Amino acid sequence: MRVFIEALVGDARNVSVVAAVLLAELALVFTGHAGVAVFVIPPLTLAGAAWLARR
Amino acid sequence: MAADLVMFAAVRRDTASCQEAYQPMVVWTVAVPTFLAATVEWVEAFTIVLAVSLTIGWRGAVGAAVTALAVLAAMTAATGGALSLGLRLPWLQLAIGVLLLLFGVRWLAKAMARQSGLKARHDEAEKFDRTRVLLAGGDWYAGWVIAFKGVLLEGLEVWLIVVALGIHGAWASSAGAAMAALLVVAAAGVLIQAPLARVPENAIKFAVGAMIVSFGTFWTLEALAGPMVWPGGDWSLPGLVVFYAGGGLILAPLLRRSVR
Repeated sequence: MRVFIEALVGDARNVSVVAAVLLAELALVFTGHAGVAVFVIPPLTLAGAAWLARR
Repeated sequence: MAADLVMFAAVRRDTASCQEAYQPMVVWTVAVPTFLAATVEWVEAFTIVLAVSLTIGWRGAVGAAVTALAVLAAMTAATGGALSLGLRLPWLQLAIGVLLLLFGVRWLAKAMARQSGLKARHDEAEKFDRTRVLLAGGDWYAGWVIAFKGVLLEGLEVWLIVVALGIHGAWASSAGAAMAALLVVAAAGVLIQAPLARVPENAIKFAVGAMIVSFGTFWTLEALAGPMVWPGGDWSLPGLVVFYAGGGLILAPLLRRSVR
């Protein structure tokens, strides 16, 4: 079952990166900074991918 | 391609508001990433099936592969139908966007790690040898299970991308592209009768990873903040693809230096 889930969503680090990105999106949108989010979220996501690549 | 990306986004909205909206026969922004991603996964699955066939014979190995493909086809039909019913568009967009982010971030990270030399490039010949060692001394049933499980696990990512990109009315393009990739890999495998080691797996992973992360970013934020959030609307999608692909290529050598 664990192999099945990891094949679908990746390992815990991958899920953490995506969760962090979503939390940042939620925080920015619901504090009225949606316009800022479009410039913050892509670099944040790329930084998350770079962090994963180093692991 | 940029115009195709924008057109796909527009088709997606039209489909939500009007079921009879015009749709092109092939949505290339769905078909291309699906075909490329599926090719990578089917090549890996073929390596396993080939190794197993040398132990239990072609009939058993192909039987296991076909059974796994039937399971994947049933999953695609079931989940596609379930997701199309009952969910309002923003929730559907958010769910699919999260799935695409989970998939795309992983592929982009792997491609960056391999590009930077931090991770060894995927080697189909080595995978073939590993599977052969795993099979040594095993019986027919063990070989069948290895082939079934191998095709099913490699195919899960294909299932994910077919469902995620096909859900907005582009089923024919996503499922057709995955099937086309399967036929191409199977034909090449039958001709060559060896692991397909010359497929440029990392370049494909980079391109597909960048495209999928772009869709994931675009849809999750649009689902949360509304359709007006992206400057330039759907034209932001090509910009995101360039940002992720270019950023990944620039960061890869820096990653290698930062580890030294």
